[in-house]
Amino acid sequence: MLSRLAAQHPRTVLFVAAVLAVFAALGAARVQKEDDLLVFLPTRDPDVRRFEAVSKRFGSLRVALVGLEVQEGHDVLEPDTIRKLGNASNAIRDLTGVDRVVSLTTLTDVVGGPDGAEVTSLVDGPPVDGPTHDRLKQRVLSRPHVVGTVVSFDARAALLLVFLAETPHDGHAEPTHVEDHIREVARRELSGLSLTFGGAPFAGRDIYAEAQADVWRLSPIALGLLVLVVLLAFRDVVGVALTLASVAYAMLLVIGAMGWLGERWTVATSTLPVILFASGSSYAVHVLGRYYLVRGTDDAGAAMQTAIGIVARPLAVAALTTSVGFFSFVATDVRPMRAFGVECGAGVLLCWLASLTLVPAVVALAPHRVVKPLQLRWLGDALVVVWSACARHRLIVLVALVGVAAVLVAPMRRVKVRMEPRAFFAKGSEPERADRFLVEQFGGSTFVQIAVRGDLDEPASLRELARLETYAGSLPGVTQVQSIVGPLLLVSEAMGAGHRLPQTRGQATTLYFFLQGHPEVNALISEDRHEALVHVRVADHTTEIVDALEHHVLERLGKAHGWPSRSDVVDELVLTLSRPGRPVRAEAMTDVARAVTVPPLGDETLQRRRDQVALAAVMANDAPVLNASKKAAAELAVEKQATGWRDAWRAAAVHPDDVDLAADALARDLDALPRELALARAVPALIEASGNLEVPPSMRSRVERLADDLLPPPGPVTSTRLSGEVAGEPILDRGFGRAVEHNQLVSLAIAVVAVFVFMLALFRKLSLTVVSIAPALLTLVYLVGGMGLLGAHIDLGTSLVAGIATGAGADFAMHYLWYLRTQDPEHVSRTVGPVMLVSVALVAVGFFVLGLGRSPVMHLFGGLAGGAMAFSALLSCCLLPAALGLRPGTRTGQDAA
Amino acid sequence: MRLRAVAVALCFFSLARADEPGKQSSGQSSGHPSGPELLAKMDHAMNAFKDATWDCKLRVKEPSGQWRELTFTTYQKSPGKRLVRFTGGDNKGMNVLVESADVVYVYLPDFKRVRRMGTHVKNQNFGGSDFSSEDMSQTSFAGVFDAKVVGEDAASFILELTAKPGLDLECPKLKVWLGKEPMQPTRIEYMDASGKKLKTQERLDYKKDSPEHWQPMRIVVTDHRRNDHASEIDFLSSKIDTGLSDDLFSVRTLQR
Repeated sequence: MLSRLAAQHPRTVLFVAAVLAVFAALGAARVQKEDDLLVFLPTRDPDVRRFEAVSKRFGSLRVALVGLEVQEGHDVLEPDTIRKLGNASNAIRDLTGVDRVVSLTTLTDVVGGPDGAEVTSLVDGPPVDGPTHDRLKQRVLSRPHVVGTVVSFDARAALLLVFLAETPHDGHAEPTHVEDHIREVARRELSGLSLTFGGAPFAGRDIYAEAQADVWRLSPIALGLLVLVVLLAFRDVVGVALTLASVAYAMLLVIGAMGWLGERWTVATSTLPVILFASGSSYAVHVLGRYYLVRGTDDAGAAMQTAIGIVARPLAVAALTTSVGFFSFVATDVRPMRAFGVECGAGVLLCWLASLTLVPAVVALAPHRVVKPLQLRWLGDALVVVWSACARHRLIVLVALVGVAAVLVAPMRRVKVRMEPRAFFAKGSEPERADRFLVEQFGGSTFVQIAVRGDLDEPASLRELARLETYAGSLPGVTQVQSIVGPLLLVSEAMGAGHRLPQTRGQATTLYFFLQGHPEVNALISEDRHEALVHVRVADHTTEIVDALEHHVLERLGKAHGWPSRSDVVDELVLTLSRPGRPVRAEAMTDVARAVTVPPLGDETLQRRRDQVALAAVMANDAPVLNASKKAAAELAVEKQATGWRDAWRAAAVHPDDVDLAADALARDLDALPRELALARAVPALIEASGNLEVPPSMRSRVERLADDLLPPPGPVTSTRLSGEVAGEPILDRGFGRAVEHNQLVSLAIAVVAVFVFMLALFRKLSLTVVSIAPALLTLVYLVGGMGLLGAHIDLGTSLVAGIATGAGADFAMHYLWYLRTQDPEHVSRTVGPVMLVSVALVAVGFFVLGLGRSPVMHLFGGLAGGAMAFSALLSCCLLPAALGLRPGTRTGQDAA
Repeated sequence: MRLRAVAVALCFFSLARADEPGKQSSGQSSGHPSGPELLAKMDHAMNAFKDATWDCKLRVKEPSGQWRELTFTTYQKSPGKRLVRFTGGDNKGMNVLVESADVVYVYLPDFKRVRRMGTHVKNQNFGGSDFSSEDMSQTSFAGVFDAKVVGEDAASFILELTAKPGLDLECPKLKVWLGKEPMQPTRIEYMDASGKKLKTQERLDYKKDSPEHWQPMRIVVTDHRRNDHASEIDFLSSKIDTGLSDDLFSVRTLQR
């Protein structure tokens, strides 16, 4: 009816089409780009949601990394590199959209002493000579929170962590593309050094840019090949122009609708032109192909009506089956993929509609000369030979096809869905280089994160967090663990409280004050201090590490925690001091731990220390008391012990307030002495019991922290309960993979059921329906089975192939079967066969061209989809004659009635 | 590390330079005053008191959208004597005594300790706010910047300040809107060396708290690099020249 309308009122049809085109063009101008790859995350999977929530809360995805590396034999602490690093850090810091830069030249260092703490820059300018450089290197490499974070273990590489500013909550900030500015500044300021750009912001931009570049590079190739194929088939420029125009028009309408509906142009949408030219041009090809066949006998209008009369029903079903392959993506929980499916499906239907309206309208207005299309006789002959052979040996063919499929079922089941960030990185691309840099220089690029919830002001909570950190660090494959425990210990030391965790809530809040506001601290603990994140850098054994941490979180973290028990501390000591191949015996450690106690007041050493401290306090040069009679007062102080100090000082001091303060301070110091002495005895004993005598200072500090926990708490301890969940990239990969697998199955089921229903409606015969979709389904088995044999994995792109292949792959068989109702196989093979093969070639070529892309996702998707189309057509050529048992000269006869 | 924050906390409120008391300028001199003249008048107007006590509330908008508050009282007396007592929030009871920009004493009540802290680190901000150490320690400008007049309207002179040679500042260029009455800044734009605007500070709600001194009761800083992240300080009260004792500014007092 549409085609008749178009033929009778071509000007009206073209006018309406032109109006729609203008409206669509206006809409197309409104389409906005979406370069945030996170929109591709599935929305329903709990693992993915957890990853998103944790990343958002702690800003993990807003850290851009600039890596630099110097040549063998040099290090990043040499004057020239330090100068450049400082300049780059400052220049990047001043960019709009950058919250803060953390690098060797921006980090501070706290040096604690008996009276105070000095806050200095970790690197206070370029070293002036060799010895200064050596001292600087030694100092930097001795800081555990610095090594592995901003400088590599051998100091040959450094990282600038660029924390991007958070987008305001109350509005949509215009994208600043700060990543591009960072890259530009880094290249300018760090010239001469080997640079890499990593982290989520750069990776997202690079992957998007790569896909875009692929599209810009490949679209002309795809278009050129399509034009060539159509031109060869029709040998008519007008026919080619009409085919392309019908697709271009459909595409314009789709993009226009996107603009009016507010849909964004994503990296997936970028493939729309190529996919539509591949999948949508076959309708015009069919209409025009049939038109050329009948044009010789009729006038243009009548020939077009006849042609459309013949192809209308199979084309309608072909359009429906192909589009349903795309529409099946609506079942996924990846929003841009749903939109992409709708856009492609709608585009295919519009291409079909255009072939039934625009093409007849143009032909009616401009009935150009009759051309004799390429007959492709050799192709027709070849199809006849194949048909005859397969029909003759139908049993062998069927057994072979089904047998191979049966053999491939096992490998097919081995195919896993794997979603890893590096799967998106093209070889040699910047993200891939950055990934390699992080693995080689910093011990890994993968982070497992444990989000811990609870009252993190409570000393018991902090100790449990420290225990989790120790446990994670002990797992094979873990190269670094970071949590808020490290910064707290550092500040505690600077405050003169030693390398210990806070013992009271008040102490904890005091220490937090000095840490507040830094983005690197914000990445470890939330503002309200009820959530913390432990970052576990992983080199390998990722799955085992995730399993172990999830088990720990489930079995340990959720229990009520008070002050650590002796066995808890011993466990942690064993984990801390054990080395690969040299485990520490828990029994030996327990024996020593049991002996760790606060010495009694009568302890000789304690007594001696008390005297020394008292004397030192009184004699202290900066003490605000006792300018006179110091010596006498000191002697009295020592002699009279605690009860006598105040009197002694009062007698000598000028100001009563000073006496009280000095006495209080001394009393406090003396109160702390027994604990100090206990620790001084415990630490070497514990280290000795471990059998690991060569412990680095950082490990010694950890033993000191744990030894402190062996002593009774100074006051009552509130029991707390923590909860936790494991997040990070491996969890995202797991959830993403599971979601993609689920989406793929649902999408495939929808496509199969819909195609089955359409075929049944067309043929009204179950056997023909089954035969029509069998090649597409067998193709999927072969395809996935082949992937299993090759050890390939399914990713986001390849997961879409099943749905597309089911829809579009069934077309070839459907067209054949449709014409077999009224024509014998030889005739169909000679007339319909070549047109069908041209049509399949168009689709396959389009997808194959996408497979030439550098982007791995595009690469796999294009190759597999193109292969599936071509293979499905070839299978149809063999399966149909074998399944139907038809020989040339016979028909299915289904439609005879 | 936020240790620097403590060091600069007091400096922020040290708008006084009691060693240079004098009368506040009531306006511009005859003819067109030069940049240096205006800057000197501004410094003088800002520091026209002997001692001062301010009750303040610092509000920082967190990424979650919630506001974090910190209340404290600043006592100041020349030359360079400053004491800050934290009166609200998690750190209530913590006191800070500033002896110089680089040396401060902090009393930590929960550790019952006084710690002396030295710091030489630049580009640090205060308690996670958008106020930097330089913002907070800026008691006068003439010693640090050269000035020239780049504009004038009915209410303000517009000065362009450039850091004196040899000084390494986070923001080496400033654009100052200097009010004509009182002769104090109402808006300061902080720029990098290339002239790119990094931050904006607005000094609002000026109130006369002594015959010769006006105090901005609200200061808002917006960091444009952090997507216009903002922090503000409200001066809840301002008492000028109450005769603060020297004893107040001692380590002994710090612990009380």
